[in-house]
Amino acid sequence: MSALSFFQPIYLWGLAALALPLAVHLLNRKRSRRLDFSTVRFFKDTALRAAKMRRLRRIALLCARILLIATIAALFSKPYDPRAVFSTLVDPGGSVYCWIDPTKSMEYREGKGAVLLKAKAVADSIDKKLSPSSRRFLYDDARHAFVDRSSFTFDGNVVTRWGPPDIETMLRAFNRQRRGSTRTATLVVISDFQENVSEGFEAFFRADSAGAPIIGVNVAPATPWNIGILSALVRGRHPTLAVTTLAAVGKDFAGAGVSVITGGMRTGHDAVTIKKGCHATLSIPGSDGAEPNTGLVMLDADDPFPCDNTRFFTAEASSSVRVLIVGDSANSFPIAAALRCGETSAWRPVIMRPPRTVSYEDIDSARVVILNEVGALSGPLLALCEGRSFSNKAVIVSPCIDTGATMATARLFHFSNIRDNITFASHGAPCVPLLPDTLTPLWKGFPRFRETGAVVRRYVRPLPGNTILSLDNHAPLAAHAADSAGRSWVFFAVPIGFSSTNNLCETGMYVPMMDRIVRYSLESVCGEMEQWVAGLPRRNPYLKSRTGALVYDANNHRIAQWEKQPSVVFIEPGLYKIQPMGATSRWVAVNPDSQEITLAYRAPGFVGRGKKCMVFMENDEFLHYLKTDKGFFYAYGLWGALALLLFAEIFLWERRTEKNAKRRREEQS
Amino acid sequence: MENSFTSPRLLKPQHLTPIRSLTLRARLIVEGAMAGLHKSPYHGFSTEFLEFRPYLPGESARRIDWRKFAKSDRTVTRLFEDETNLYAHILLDKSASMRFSSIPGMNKYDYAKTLAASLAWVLIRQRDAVGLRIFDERETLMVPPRSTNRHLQTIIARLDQSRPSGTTRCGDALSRLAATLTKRGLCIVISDLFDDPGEIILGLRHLRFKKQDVIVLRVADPMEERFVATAPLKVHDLETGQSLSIDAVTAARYFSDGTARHMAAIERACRDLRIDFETVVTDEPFQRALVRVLDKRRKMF
Repeated sequence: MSALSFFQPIYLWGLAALALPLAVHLLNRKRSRRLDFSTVRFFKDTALRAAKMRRLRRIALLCARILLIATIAALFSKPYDPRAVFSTLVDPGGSVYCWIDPTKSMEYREGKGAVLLKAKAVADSIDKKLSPSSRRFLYDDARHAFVDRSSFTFDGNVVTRWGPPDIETMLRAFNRQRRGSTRTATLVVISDFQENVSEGFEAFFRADSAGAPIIGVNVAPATPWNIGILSALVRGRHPTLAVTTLAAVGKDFAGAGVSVITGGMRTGHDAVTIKKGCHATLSIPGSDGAEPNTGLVMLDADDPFPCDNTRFFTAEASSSVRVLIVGDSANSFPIAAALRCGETSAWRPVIMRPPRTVSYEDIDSARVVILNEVGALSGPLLALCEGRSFSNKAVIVSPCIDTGATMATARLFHFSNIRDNITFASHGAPCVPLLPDTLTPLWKGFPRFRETGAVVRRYVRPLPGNTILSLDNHAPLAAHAADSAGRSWVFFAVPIGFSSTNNLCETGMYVPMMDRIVRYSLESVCGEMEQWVAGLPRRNPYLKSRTGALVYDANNHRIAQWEKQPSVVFIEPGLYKIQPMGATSRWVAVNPDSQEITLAYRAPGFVGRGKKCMVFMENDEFLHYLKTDKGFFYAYGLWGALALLLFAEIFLWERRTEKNAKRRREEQS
Repeated sequence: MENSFTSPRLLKPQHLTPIRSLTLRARLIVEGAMAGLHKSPYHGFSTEFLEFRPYLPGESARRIDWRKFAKSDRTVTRLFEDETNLYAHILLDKSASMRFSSIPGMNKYDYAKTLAASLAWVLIRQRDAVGLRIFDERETLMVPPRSTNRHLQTIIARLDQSRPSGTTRCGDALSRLAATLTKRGLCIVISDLFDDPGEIILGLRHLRFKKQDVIVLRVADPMEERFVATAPLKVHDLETGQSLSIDAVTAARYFSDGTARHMAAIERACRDLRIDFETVVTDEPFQRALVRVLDKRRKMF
């Protein structure tokens, strides 16, 4: 790739005019004549300096004239750096690769049309700017390759799809195809730059650098607002059908209707009011006798992004919960016993592991992890606490008060900024927990009853999160918090197994309290363990089975047969039935990617080579650049140079004043 | 009336260029000068009567013997025998800078030695004793003053043999001469004066201290008087061999200013010391230069 190219190279012939100042200079040059003279004593210093200055002045004048002509020629021929991002876009001998974000977030309606239409308009503008000899490539999502096209003018060719954007595949295809060509390549990325798109670019540039220029054009809505369903789960049986989490972005919503549809009928309905930027969890009771195995939750709201207004659910997804208890087996035995004696189908299996022997597999397979008086954190436990892995879990933490392992407790209480301020408070008179406090959501629906036999002698204070259980002195006994990884945390201020500091496990309220605490924490877990995402390929679960499985949609039409394909994908969200050969069928709920419907936009941030490769611009700014040719060639610099050279020419030019002319005449005579 | 200074009969340097003999040159110049002036430099420095001569038109009426005219009604002129008591020294600068010439065939040294020979001729014809000293950075030749015709031939022969070379040490030469002088007399310095003005003035002051009448004849080339050049020059110093590349236009300005300052300093000193200072340019006719000098002397005395 050359360092400089020209849009109008024909004008470079104007450089032939450089011969003019050279000729003038050579013709005007007076050869020095030898003169044997009486003395040179009067020529020293000033005359010598003047002669040097005069010679330098003439050389400077020659240079100024040469540069002046070269600058004029350059202004007409429009030079540009083919390695510069914008210049390559309009290189007549270049190739422009265009990727329009095909994800569902591009269907966000802004003004008259969707964001996708805005992206198409940008592509049209690029197409008009391009030279006819430029080659145009458009990314084909199905073929995972850029396809040669005659223009970027679209007639409904680009449609959105479900699933996350596959940035890495697209960039690899771009690199592969541009390296196979000798032309200058530019990639134009037109997207709303949601979090996942930006992360995709950042991850790619961290590992590899495309090398070629990339222009990112942001078509994200200026002031996005939305309300959508983040999750829908079936919790228990009658009367609660579905627990739905909703989120509002950019605007307050009041009275949005939420309906639960099971078996083709609306079996529940509720209305919700959510403030801007907040989440709301809604438990919708169903009608009597309804037992929802599968269904969907619909949000009735006229928002600009309707793709997240429907959420599918299946009862199978939350039918059985695996519980892992980490702690001393003797002390933790009451917890396991309390869970095992509860509802028979709810907590299965309940596994106990000492802290030192717990493995990554143990934690990964469990939906609920209870950390009871863990004094030392092993590697898997650290990974759990520090949020490096293990998303979508409910974690219940009780502190290690007896041994005074404050560091471990601090790590376990890793939320917020209270880590360094944990104290161990004790009272002379024992405290009594408020069991049950029926005003709190934890005990909602529980018969009003007061447990007076429970005594707490020592507890940790403060606790991170929102208090869900209290002592009679208003100190929190348990608190709940959720993190960005979709994990739900419940922190106890006291050990919840056998302990000398309290007698909770000896009271009659212990079993329902543990059951309610575990359920409460599970309700706040975002997503399901085995969640299918529309458009996201997953490993074929029947790859190694001999029989395979048939896949049916909600209308019982067969849509696929999973046999030996390594990965399988559901194109659209919905309810699907998987029928393995010779086994019972099961329903799966396929929902949109949660990142795709979050509508969180941000510009990609780069370090190192990625920063040089990619330019990120807003839609309007980019169109302005296209319109004004700004950044395409060095026009401003050349005009500035021209002005400077003209000034230098005037400054250096020896004007023939009357005096000079007279002197010359005298000399000639 | 035809002005003698503009007469075409005057011998211009280029007319004398083909004449190799310095004696002939000097004779032509002196005779021409005398004829043009109509007043004899042979008379005026002596007071002893020699003879009467018929008055010639054009001669000064002061020398007419009016008593004789009253008696005989003839106009006769009284001639005096010019018996000299004047010791004259001609100091001639023969440094290499005197070799410069912008006129083909006649450089400053040729002009200077012709002038020196002419002056010697005039002085010996007046029966004055004339000596010659030729110098560059040192004194290279010394002819003691005598007043015989043979001595004139010796001076002219020595002048003829000399060639310009070496660097100028005019001030030293004047001082050395002054140190050897015991009688009052006349010193004629012929040089381009391209030396340190301070030293030159010191030498002149020394001569004046020795009660010498001094005439400074600065010999200049026309180009030194008015430096003209259109092309860039590489100027080569004839004395030092140093070369400088200079621009013509600025060089002319700086040279004119430099020489003007230099000569003004010397001229001012001469005026203070009551020394005759004359600049003769090598394109000037010899007679005119000679008469200018002699006329100036006559007026002073």
